[in-house]
Amino acid sequence: MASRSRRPRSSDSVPPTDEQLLACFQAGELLDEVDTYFGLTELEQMREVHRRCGVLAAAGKMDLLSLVESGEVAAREHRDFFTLQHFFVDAIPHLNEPLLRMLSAVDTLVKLGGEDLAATRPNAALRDWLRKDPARAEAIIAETQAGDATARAHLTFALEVLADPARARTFLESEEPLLRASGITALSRMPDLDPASRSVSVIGIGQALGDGADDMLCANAVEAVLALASQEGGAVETETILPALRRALEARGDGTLNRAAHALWAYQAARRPEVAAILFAALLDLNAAHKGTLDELDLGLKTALDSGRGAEALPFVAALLIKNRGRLKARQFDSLWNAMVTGPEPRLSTWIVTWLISGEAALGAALTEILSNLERDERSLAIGRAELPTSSDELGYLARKAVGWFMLQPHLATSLLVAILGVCDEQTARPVAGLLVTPVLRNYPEMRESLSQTPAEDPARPWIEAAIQEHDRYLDALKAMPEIPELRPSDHNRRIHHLHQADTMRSAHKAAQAQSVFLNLVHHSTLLYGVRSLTYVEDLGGGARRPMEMELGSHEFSMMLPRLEMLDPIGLQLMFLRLRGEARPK
Amino acid sequence: MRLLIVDYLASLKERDELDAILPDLLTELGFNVLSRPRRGTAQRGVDIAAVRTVDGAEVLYLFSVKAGDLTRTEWNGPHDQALRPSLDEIKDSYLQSRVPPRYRDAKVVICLCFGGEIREGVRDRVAGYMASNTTDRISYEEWNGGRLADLLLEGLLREQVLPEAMRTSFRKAVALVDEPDVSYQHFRKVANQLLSAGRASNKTRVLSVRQLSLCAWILFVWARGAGNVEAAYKASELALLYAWELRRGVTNPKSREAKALTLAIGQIADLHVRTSSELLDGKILPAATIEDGLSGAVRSSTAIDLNLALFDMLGRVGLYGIWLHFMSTRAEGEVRAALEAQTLGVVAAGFAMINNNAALLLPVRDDQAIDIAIFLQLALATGADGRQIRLWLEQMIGRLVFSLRNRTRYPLSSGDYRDLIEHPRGDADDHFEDMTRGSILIPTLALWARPLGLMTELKVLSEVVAEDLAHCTHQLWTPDQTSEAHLYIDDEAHGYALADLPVDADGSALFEIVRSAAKRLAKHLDGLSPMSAQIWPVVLVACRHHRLPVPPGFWIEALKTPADADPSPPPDENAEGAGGDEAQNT
Repeated sequence: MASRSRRPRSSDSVPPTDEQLLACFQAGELLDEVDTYFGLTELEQMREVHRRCGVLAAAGKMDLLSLVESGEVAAREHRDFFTLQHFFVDAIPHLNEPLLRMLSAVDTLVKLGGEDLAATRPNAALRDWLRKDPARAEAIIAETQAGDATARAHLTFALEVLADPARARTFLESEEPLLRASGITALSRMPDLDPASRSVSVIGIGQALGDGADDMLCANAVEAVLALASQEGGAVETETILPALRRALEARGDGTLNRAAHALWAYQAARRPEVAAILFAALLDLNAAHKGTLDELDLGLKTALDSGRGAEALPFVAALLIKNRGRLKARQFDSLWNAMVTGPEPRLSTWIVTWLISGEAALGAALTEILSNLERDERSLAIGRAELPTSSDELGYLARKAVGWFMLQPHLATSLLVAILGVCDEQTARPVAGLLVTPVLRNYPEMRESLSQTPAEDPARPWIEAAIQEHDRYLDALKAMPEIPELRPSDHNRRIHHLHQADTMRSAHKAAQAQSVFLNLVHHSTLLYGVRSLTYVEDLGGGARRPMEMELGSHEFSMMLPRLEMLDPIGLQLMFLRLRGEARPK
Repeated sequence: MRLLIVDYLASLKERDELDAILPDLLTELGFNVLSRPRRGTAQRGVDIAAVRTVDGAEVLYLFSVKAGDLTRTEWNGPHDQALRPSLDEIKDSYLQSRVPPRYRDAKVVICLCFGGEIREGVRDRVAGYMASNTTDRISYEEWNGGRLADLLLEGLLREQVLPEAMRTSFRKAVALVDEPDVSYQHFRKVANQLLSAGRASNKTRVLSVRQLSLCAWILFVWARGAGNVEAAYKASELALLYAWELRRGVTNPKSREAKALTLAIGQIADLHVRTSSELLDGKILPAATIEDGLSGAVRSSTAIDLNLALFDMLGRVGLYGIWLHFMSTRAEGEVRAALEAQTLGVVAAGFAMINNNAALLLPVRDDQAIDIAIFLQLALATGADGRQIRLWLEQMIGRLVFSLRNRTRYPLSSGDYRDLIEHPRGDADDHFEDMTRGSILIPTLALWARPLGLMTELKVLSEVVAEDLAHCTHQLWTPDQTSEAHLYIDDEAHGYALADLPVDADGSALFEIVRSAAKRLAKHLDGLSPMSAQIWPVVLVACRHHRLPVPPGFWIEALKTPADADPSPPPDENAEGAGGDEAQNT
C-alpha cells in the first residue's frame, strides 16, 4: 500500500473544530489539511475528524464529493492519493448523497487507486453506506433492472448488503453475464446458514455458466461454489459441488485457473479429496507464465502439505514440472519447498528419493534447484533408510542419480550414498562406494571429514572407510609431487586472468545490486578508509544534528566447486549428461 | 660478467659438460685441437690434446678435465676418474705411446683442468706433485674456473664479439630464469644479434654458433641451479635453429668452417637433448603415472592453463622421444639398445600422461594439433601400440563433437590468451564463426581416425563439419620453395596451406587429397637442409618452436589403409617419400 509520511506541524495536536473544518473547506484547503493529517499524530483522532467531515457533508454544510468530481483529488500527486483515499473511506458511510452520484464518486476513487491492492477500499465504504439504509441497495437493484450501467456495476454490493440468497439467485438466470456474475459473487460473500439453501445456490451457479466458455463467470463460479461449500452451518454435499465445479473448470480459462489455485488454500471445501483432485487436474493446464496463479498455487500446495495431503500435492507438482519442463522453474513454489525442507525428515527423504528414482530430468533439475540452499548451509540430510528402494538395481540407479543431480551439492549426494551403502548388498555396494571415491571425494576432498563422522556401528562404515582409504592414496600421491615450475602459467597470463576475474566480479556485483530491493530505499555512502564511521544526522523533527557511529562488518559468501571444473570441465559435463540421462531400469 | 661465468663453470656437474666448451675455447685461443673428449674414460688420462705455437715452437697441451672443485677425493680418490691417476697415466702411457710422431720432441704441458678451484686441503699435494714431476720437457699448468672464465672473456665472449648491450641482455636472461618468458625474450635478443653478426662471413658464422652454444649452456646451468629450466629449454631450441640457419649459409660442406659448424651444432643439439632430459626425465615423466599429478602441478585454478601447459609438454615429450629414436638409429650395440629402451619408455610415459590427465583429451586451441602430431609422429616412429592411440583419439573426437555441437569449450583458432580466458563469449553465430574460422586439428583427427577404424566417430565428425562448420577452412601446412630461407628463424610467413580440405564421412577423399599434395610437394620438404643432411628432427624442432603444423609428408603414408592403392609418381619428378622411412603403420 502506498503511503507517504508527512511531518505533522509541531504546534498542532488538537483536532480541528467543525467550524475550522468548514472554514478550511470553504478556503479550498481541506485536502491540504487531510494531507498533513490535520496536524494530528493519533490514528483514531484522524479517523474521527474524517467521520465528522462526513457528518458535516451529510448535513449539507460541505460537499465532499465535489472534491472528487472536480478533479481536485485526481490532481494530487499519486503518492498523496492514499492519504486522501483513507479520508473518503472514513467519510463516505456518513454521507447522504443521491445514489448515482455516490456510485460515480466511488468508481472514480477506485480508478484513481490504479493497480494497487488497496485501490478497491472505497467499495468497502460503499457497502457500509448501503447498509445504513437498505433502500439504497434496493435502489441499485431497481436501477439495474432499468438498465443503468453504473448501477449494474455495483449490483454485487447491493445484493451483498441485502443478504438475501434467494434474491441473489434470481440474477443467476439473467441473460447478461455481468448480472449473473454479480449474483454469483454476491452469493459467495453473503452468509447463508441453511445448507439446503447453499446447495440450491451451488446448483444454480453451475447452471448459470451456460456452455462454460465465459472465463469471468467461471472464475467467479469456482470461488463462489467453494465459498458456499466452506461456510459454517452444515456441509454442502460433495456430490452437489462436483458438477458445478467441473462445469466451471472445463474451459480452463486463465482467470478460472487463478481462482482454482486460490481456492486450494482459501477454502476448507477444497481440502476434500474429490474436490482437490478436480482442482489439481484442472491446474495441470495452467499457463506457466502466469506468476500470479503460480503464487496462489504455491500457497495452496503448502496448505495441502501442512494439512497432511502431501501425497496429493507432490505428485501434482511433479506432473506439472514434467509437463512444463523448460518453462516452469521449481523455485516458483518457494513456500511449498520451504515447508518441505523444514518439515519432518522422513517426508523430505521420501520425496527426494521418489523424485530421483523417477528418472525424470525435470524432477532431478527441480531437486537441484530447490535443495541448493541446503548445500549453502552445508547441511547433510538424514535419509530415512526405510524410504529407500529394496531392489539392488534401483539402489544402484538411485546412487547414480544422486551423484548426477547433486554433483554440485556434495553434502546431499554424500548423505544419499551413505544411506544406500547402509542397506545394499555387497555387489551393489562396490560401485556405490566407487561413486563415493569418484566423483564425490575426487571433486570435494572436504567431504572426507563429514564421512569420517559416520558412526562406527553404521553398516555403511566399512565401505566408507574403504572409499576414504582409496581417496587418501590418491591424495598422498598428489602431495608427494614435487614442484614443477616449468608448468606454471606465465606472469603475463596470470595478470590477464586476474583482470578478467576482476571484470567479471565487478559485473556480477553490479547485476546483483540492480536486483536489490533495498538499495533504492537507502542512502549510499562509500567509505574509502577506516573500519567504522561517524556521521552527523538530522532528525525528521529538525533540531541539532546528532552523531551516529557505526562499526563496519564484513559480508562473505563461499561455495564449493567440483575440482573437475578445473581438471576436466568437459568430462564433468559429459558425466552429468550420462548420469542424469540414464533411464530407469525396468 | 666474469662472476657469472665463474659461477657457471663451478656449477657444471659432469665432466662432459666442461668438455662441451673447452675445444671451442681452445680453438678460439689459437690452439689446434688434436683430439676431443669422448664419452666414457679418457684416452690414457688425456681428455683433450691440442697444440699451440709458443715463441715459435709447437707445444703439446694435454688436458685432463674434471668438473667442479678439485677435492681430495677428486685428486686421488678410489674411483678411476680421480685426477692423479690420470696424470700418472699420461706420463706412463700416453707420452710413451700415444703422442703423434710430429710432436714427439715437442715440449709438453699437462693441464689440470677443472671448473672450480683447488680445495685448500689438497693444494699442497697438487703443488707437490706438479713440482716433483716437472722436467725439462714436461710442465704442468692449473686451468681452474677463474682462468677458464678469463680465457672465455678474452676469446668467445670478448668485447668485440659480444658487446655490452648483448652482455646486458644475456645477464638479464640468466638473472631472470625464474621468469622464463622474460628470460627467453632477453636470450632471444642476444641470439638475434649473434645471428645477424654471424652472417658476415664463414668465420663469423662459426664464432656466432659457438657463442650461441656457450650462452645456451650457461643459461641451462643457471636454470638448472634455479630449479626451472623452462627458459633454457626454449633457448636451446632457438639456439639450435639459429645455428642451423648459420650453417646452411656455408656452401662448401667439406670446408673447415662447415665441419666446425657441424660440430658446434652437434653440441647444441646435445644441449637441447640434455635440457629436455633435465625437464622431462627429471620432472615430467616420473609424474606422468600419478593421476592428475601433472594437472595439479600447473598450480592454476583455470582449466585453460592446465590444458595449455599439458599439451605443450606433450609436444616436448614427443620431440624428446624423436631425438632419442634418431640417436638410436645412429648408435650400435648396447648404446643403441639403451636408447631404444629409453625411447619406448618416453612413449609409454606420454600415454600415461594422457591417461592420467583428462585435459589432454581435447585441446583448447586448434594449433595444439601441432603437439598432438609431434607425439603421434613419435608413436609412428616407434611402432607404438595402436590401441592406445585409438583410445585417445576416439575420446578426443567424441569430445570435439560434443563441444562443437553444444558450443561450449570448443578449440579456438585464436591463440590470444584473452580469447581463451573469455571463451565462450556466448553462443552467438558470429562469435562461433570468428573463433572457428580455420582448423588444422579437425583434418588431422579425421586422417588418423580412418586407419584406426574410428569410422563412426569420423562420420559424426563429418556431419558436424557439414552442419556447423561450413565457414571453417580445414587445412594443413607443408613447406614451399621459400621455406628453407625462413623455417629456422621464422622471420616471414612461408609454405603452402593445403586449404579447403574435405572432411568426408569415410575419410577417403581427404586422405587422397593430402597424400597427393604431399607427393606433389615432396621436393620442398625433402629439399630442406635438415632432410638432406638426414638430421630431420630439426624440422620438427622448427615446427614446435615456431608453431607450424607437422608437414603431412612425414606421416601421411603411414596412415594408408589396405584399400588405398599406391599412388603413381607425379610427372617429371622423383616421387620419394619424405620421412617415410621413419613412419610405421600402426
